[in-house]
Parts: sequence; C-alpha cells; structure tokens
Amino acid sequence: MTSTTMSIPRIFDRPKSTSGIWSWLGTVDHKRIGTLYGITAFLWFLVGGIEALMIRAQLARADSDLISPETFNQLFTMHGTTMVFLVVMPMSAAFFNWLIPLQIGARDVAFPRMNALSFWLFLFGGLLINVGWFTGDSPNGGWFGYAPNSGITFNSGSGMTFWAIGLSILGVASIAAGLNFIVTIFNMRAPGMTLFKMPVFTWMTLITSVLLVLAIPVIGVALIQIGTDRLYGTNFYNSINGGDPVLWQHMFWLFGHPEVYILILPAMGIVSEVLPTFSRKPLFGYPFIVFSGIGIAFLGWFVWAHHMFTVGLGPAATSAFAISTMAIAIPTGIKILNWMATMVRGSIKINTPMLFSISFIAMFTIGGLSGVMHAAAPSDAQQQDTYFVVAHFHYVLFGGALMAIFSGIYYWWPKMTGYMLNDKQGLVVWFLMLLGFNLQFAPMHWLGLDGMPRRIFTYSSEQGWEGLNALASTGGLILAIGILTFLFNVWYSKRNKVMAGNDPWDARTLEWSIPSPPPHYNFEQIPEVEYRDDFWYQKYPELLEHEDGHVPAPAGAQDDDEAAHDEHGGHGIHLPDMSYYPIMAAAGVAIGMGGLMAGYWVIVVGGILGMWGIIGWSLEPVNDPEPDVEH
Amino acid sequence: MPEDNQTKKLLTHDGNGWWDLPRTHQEQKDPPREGPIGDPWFKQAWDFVTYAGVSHASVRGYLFIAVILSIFTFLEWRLFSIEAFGDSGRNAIMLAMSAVKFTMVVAFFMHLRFERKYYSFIFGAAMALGIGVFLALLLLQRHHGVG
Amino acid sequence: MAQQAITEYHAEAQDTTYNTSTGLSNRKLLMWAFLASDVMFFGTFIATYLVYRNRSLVGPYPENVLDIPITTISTFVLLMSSLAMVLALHYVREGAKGPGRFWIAMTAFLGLVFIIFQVVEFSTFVNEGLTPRTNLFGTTFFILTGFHGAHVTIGVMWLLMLLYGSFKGTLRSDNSLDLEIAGLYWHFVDIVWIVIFTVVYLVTANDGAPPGAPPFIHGG
Repeated sequence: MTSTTMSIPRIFDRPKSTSGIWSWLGTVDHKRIGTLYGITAFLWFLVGGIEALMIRAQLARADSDLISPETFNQLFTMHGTTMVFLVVMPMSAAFFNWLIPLQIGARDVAFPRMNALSFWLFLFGGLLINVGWFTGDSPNGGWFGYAPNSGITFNSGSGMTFWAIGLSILGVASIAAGLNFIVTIFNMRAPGMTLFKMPVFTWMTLITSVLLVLAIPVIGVALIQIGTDRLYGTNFYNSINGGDPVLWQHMFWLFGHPEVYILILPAMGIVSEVLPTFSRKPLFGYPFIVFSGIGIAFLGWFVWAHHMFTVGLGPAATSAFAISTMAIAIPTGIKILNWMATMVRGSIKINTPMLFSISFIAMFTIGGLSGVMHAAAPSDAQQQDTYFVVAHFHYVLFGGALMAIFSGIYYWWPKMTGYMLNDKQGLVVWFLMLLGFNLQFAPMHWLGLDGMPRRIFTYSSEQGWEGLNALASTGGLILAIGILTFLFNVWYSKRNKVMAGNDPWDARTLEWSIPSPPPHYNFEQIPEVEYRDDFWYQKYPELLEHEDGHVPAPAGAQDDDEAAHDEHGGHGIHLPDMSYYPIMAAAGVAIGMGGLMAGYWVIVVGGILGMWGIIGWSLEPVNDPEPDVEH
Repeated sequence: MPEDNQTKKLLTHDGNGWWDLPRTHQEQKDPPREGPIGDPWFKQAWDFVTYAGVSHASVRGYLFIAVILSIFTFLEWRLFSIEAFGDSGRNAIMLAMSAVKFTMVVAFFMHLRFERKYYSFIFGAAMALGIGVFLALLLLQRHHGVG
Repeated sequence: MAQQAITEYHAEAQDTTYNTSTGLSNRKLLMWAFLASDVMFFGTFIATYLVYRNRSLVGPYPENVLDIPITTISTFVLLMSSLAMVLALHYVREGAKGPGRFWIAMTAFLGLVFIIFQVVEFSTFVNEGLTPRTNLFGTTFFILTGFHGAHVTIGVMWLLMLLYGSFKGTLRSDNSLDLEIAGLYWHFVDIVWIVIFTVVYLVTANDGAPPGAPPFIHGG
C-alpha cells in the first residue's frame, strides 16, 4: 500500500527482536499469542485449583474452623470467577489462536494487532480481579454477583468493584477476540475451503465467537450498572429506591446461559477432531454436528430463566423455559450419538488424547442428564442451591470442558512444540484425573439430594454429611496429584525430547501438513482445498469415493503455474510487523479503569497511555515499507 | 443450480449446498438493483432516486432520504403535541415512524440496500435476536415487578 | 436505462471486491459484526430503561423534565450529520478533496452541536433536581443517553482524525473505505438515537408519578 510511504513520527522504534522478553511484549504472531493465552490460563488454573483445595479442606470435616466464613465467601467467589473467565475461556482462546489460522490455511488472523490487544486486556483484567488477594478484600459476592448482595449497601469492600471492573475489561477482550475470529474464519479460508469443508473445531470456534460477540455486551451493561451503583450511587439495583434484584438475575443469566455454551462448544470442537483421528474414520454425521452446534447456540438464548425457576416467574414463563431447556438436550444428544458412531467399527487407537476425549463423552453425558433433571421445574425447586447443582456443573465444566482441553493439550502439543508428551505418563495423568474427579464430584449428587446447601462454609456433624464430604475432599487431593503429574509429564517430555515430525498422529486436518512447530509464516504456499479432511485424502487418495472419480494430486505436488506466482519459499511472505501499541492501549485501559478505584490522576495517566496507544496504533502501518534491496 | 436438489444436497452434504459461500469472489455477483415492489412505475421512480451507478445512492437520493427523515421527525414532534389517537394509538404510530426512519438510514446511508447480503444478514440477525430476547425480558418483568 | 444502470453497477462493484474467501473487506465485516455486538449493548440499556419505566419512587418524573421541542431539534441535527457523512463519503470517493473535507468537518461539527445540546440538557435536568442518584428514571436515563453521548464523542474524534488524514494525504479516493467504516459507525449511532428518541422521549415523555408515588413539585 502506498500509504506506508509517508513518514510517521515515532517515539519508539518498532520492535524487531525475535527472542527475549521484548519479542513477547510486541508480538502479533497468532502462535505466540496462543502460547501466552495457554500459559497464563494454566497459571490461573493452578490458582483456581488451590482455591478449590482450600474449600475442600474446609468442608472435609463437620464443624470445621480451618477457614473463616468471610474467607470462604471470597474463596468460592474467586474459584468460580477464575475457572470460568480466567481458565476455561482463555484456554479455549489459546486453542483458537493456535489452530484457527492453521486449520483454515491462513498465515495469521485477520487483525493481528487486535489479537494482541485481546490477550493483554485479558491479562490485565484478570490481574485486576485478583487484586483483592493483596488488599485482603477479594470479591465475595459469588461469581454471579447477585444484587443487592453485591451492591454497596451490603458489601462495602472494594472487592466486588474490582470484580466488576476486571470483568468488564475481560469482556472487551472477549468481544475483540470474537470479532477477530469471525472475520478470520469468514474471510481467510484457503481457496476451496467452503464453510462445510472446514474442520469441526473451526466451526465451533465460529459459533462460539458469534455467541461471545452477542452475549458479552449484556454482561458488560450489567457490570456497568452494578459498577455505577457501587461507585456513583446510581439506583439500578438499589432496592431502597426501587431497584429490582430480579432484573440483575435476568441480566446475568441472559449472558450466563450463552456463556455456558461459550465454555463447552470449543471443547466439543476439540473432541470432534480427536475422535476421528484415533478412530481412523471420518467424523460421523458432520452436518448434524455442525447444525447441532448452531442449534445449541440459538436455543441457548431462550433458556436463561431456568436459572431462576425459584424466583417465581409464574407458571407460564416457568413452563416455557422448562420446555426450551429440555429442547437443548436434543442437539446435544445428537452430538453425543455422532461421536459414539464415529468410534463404532473404527480402528481405535487408545492413547492419552483419545482417553481424555472418551472421558469427555461419558462425563459430559452424566452432567447433561443431571441438567435435564434441573430443566424439570418442580424437581429444580428441590435441587436449587444444593450440592446437586454443584455436581451437575462440575460434570459439564470439569468432566466436559477441561477433559476436552486436556485432550487437546495432549493432541496438539507435538504440533505446538515439536516434541511429544510422554504417553505412558499421560495415561497416569488421565487415570488420576478421572478417578479424582469422580471421587470428588459424584458424592455431591447424593449430598445435594440430601439437602446440603451450596456456599455454606461448614455443616454440623448431626447432618450425616461427613463421610461423603471426606470422600469428595480425598478426590480433590487425587485430582491435584493428577495435575502435578501432568506438570511432571511436561517437564520430563521437555527434558527427554521425542521429536514429533509433521504428522505424528496420522491426522486429518491442514495443521498437520506443515512442520512442527510451524514456521512463523505457517504455510509456504497457501494450500488449495478440495475436500473436507483434505490432508487425509491427499495422503490416502484411494479412500476417496467421489462420484466424478477425480483423484486429487498427492501432497506436495503443485502446478508449476501455481508455484510461479505464489511467494518464493517463505522469504517473500508479508507478515504483519510487531507492535508495542496493543499492550500500551491495553495497559492504558486497565490503568484507567482501575483508576476508578484509586483516584482521578490514575485515570488521567491511564487515559493518556490508552489514547497514545490507540492513536499510535491507527497511524502505524501494518507493515513497514520493505527495503528495496532483495538478498 | 436447480432448486429441487437442495434437500438432496443437505443430506448428502458434499459441502456445496445453499449455505455455501462462494469459493472465489467472481462466482457471486452483487445483487442487482431493483425496486422493493417490482412495479415498473415504482421502479422508475426508484431508479431516479437512487441511481448513481456505484454501490451507494446518488447525492440526489441522499437528499431525498434526508428530506423524508426530516419530515418524519417533524411529524413526530407534531404528533406528540396533539392528542387525537389516544396513548396506545399514538405510541404505535410513533414506533412505526421510528422503524421507517431506522430502515431508511440502515438501507441507504449505511448502504445495506446496495451491499452483498451477508452484511444485512449479520445486522438483521443481531436485531432479530435483540428484539426477541429483550421483548421476552420485558414480558417476564411486566408480570413480576414491584411497581 | 435500467439495464445499463445494472451493468454499470456491476462493473463498479467488481472493483470493490476484495481478495478474501467471501470477497468482503475484512474491516467492513469487522465493523458490521461490531455493530451487531453494539445492538445488544444498547438493547440491554434500552430494555433496562423500559423495565424501570413508571417505577420511580420520587420525582422528577419524565413529564417534569423532558423537553420534546428541544430534543426534536437535536435529533434533527444528528440526522443531518448523517446526511453530511454520506455526502462526505460520496465526494471523497469521487476524489473531490475540497467538498470531501467540508462535509467531514460538517459531520463532526453537527456531532459536536448534538453533544452540546446533550450537555445543556443534562445540566438543566440537574438544576431541576434530577441526577443519576435521584430515582430510577434518572439512573436509567442518564446512563443510557450518557453512553450514547460517549459513542458520539468517540465518533467526533474519529472524524477529526480522518479530517487530519485528508490533509496529510492518507485519506484518498482509493482508500475511502477508511471513511466508509467510520460512516457505518456514525450512522449506527444515529439509528440508536432514532430509537432512543422514540422510546425515551416520544413514547414515555408523558409519564408522571406512578401509582403510590408522590407527585413532583418544582423547588419542593
């Protein structure tokens, strides 16, 4: 573009280094951003896990006074917030970042600098939520922040304000990421890759992105409302002046239920990649899985009030939401049947990613079934706010989402790093996690049906809940050992590298056609796609039973014409240059928003930094002018 | 492609059904310009207003739309100060006029009328979802509120 | 004549397709997807306003403060700024530098006038005793229209940067997409105001004290 010929005054030199800390701070490479997402989310996974272990330690015995009730409130609030917003969502984002350009045959996402902005906003927003561990005043109103309990009247500390501010920043990060991936998937597919030739993980990313873009604004507004209530004394949820607590519940769950599918759909995408690879069969019922995903995402908008059956919405509304909730079981069931049918009569190869994926199906089915029990409103009235609900959503979020994420970690680790994760140790990790998980959460079904309420910091020994609680706490310990084994597995595999090669699993999608780890330009030549699972049919053209009898060219063979006007061996490929402005803009936003709690001068500092970042960004060309001399 | 094949295409899912986005941009042309009703007389008037030969309206067309917007805004103001139709009737007319203005700006100023259908689909889907969800919310709250 | 128009139209449209899978511009698709997101954002605020309609416990109520004639004028100003915006885009596309700059500046100016109207309106309301803390009407009204005003402000700053760009030579007829995208944002802010003007002003401006709440007396 000719616009790059004008000279722009710069304070900094544009970052050029390819290693060291500065290369990470200025990176716009989707693979590096994916790694940053993954590492950050895993660190927060450890934090959230420690919070969970403290909760379990407190609940292991009756009449325990290990942890004060105030701390307990902070622990379960931060555990929920951390695991949902700082672990499962960014873990999915790590996979989005790493895999979407590779799966659709692109060299980067559509807006690389905006991608970097998403990550830095996520990091700083997460830090703001966690500020409370240092001020001693963590958020304590539950991850759902029900008003007026989360309002200033009943909760005068700074914790919930930081919670609202931090979550709004995370929301901006999620919307930016969602927009980015929508545009990337629509516009950057390799030639020939129509929407229905995309890998299922790409489809689920697209659906998740649409949900993010449409659902996050709702919680954003709700957080603005509770935030202005707390900071400036507005009346949205101030019951003294007529504010309506039920409205908060509506707002939260209007976002909250699509959010549930934002958490689970990427997991379903991962499983839909792993199962066909290790069954050595195409995914059974591809269009059914895709349309079920779309159906889940659409229906997910009209079920939110099933979280509020006990509010008293009236029989008509309750029945309508009970029916729509049960209807969601249909597309979900279709998916489960299709995954199982994928394995039927396949040459199944049992290894760690496959076992995690199979566990996903089993655990998610259990969680789904208890979900249908909640959908029946009379039954839900019994289960509301008991440990039965805790059991349900841990079966779908840990047994579902996290099992699939671990499956994805083991499956794509060789592609991301170039070496395999030790499979024998992986089996131990899988066994410990599955065992610990079930020991921890299965007893909660019985505890819940026996009436043990959620969010209580202790219970009396007369209630007879001690045995099952001790069992659950033991399970938590085993689960923790499983996670530690995973860390050991990573360390060991890094020490004793077994190199993976391009395609260690004999897999189906485009990312396996390039070296591991991928070069920074991903594809030397943008691939041409003719079939779904195109890479598979390039390897095994004899498997292709296509009506016109056309056999695709074997991998690597290219028309001379094609090659002539493509780039030359990766050296002439234009990739976006690095930039400091995303991190600067993100820091400005975070400092400015955090300044609402600190004082006006902090807001001013953040505002200046943010404006500098944004204006510098918009004046900075994506690519610096190329030097004229070629080597 | 023939219409009767669509069901078959859906079931055999070879990736070339109605949901397909074109492989290259040459395959899909922009929608031809046509009147909203298809009536020849109206179509001529329509061409007069909007024709500019490019993917947006003419200056003449923009001015015409702006005049309509102004007239409607004026009418809204007048309608507010008279009390002829009763509250609900007046509100219905207000909302209808607002919808017309909204559509005018979206279709002409934001060029959706002249663009590929994807943009209309994105915006229309969000509008439909928003209206559906928030009407449901208002209905739920109507039977619940304290007031 | 009509056939010729269609042919020319296609000839022109071919030039504006992009080398992407869909032939759509990345940035324009981004803007439309963002506007879809913003639909939900303002939808939530407007829904909150309507949920809390007639539920204020004390005055001032809408009928005590809302001024329809003044707001009709500011609405008209914002609508005309949209006209200025499309004219700006038209002339920038044609490569007419002078008119292009004039209409960009006019758009920003009209946006600024709208903001001034809003500032005056807000301060009048505060003088009459309505603040965001007074009652539910005040809370929902100020936050909804305030966020709309913030959108207008961002739009004005964006336009001023584009105006600067047109002098620096970065905004030309061959990359008028820069202006078109800003225009999409600007028109969206305009249609949000069309809805707010109807819902908040025209439809609910006659709302007085709800049953059980005391009537509002000026200076009382």
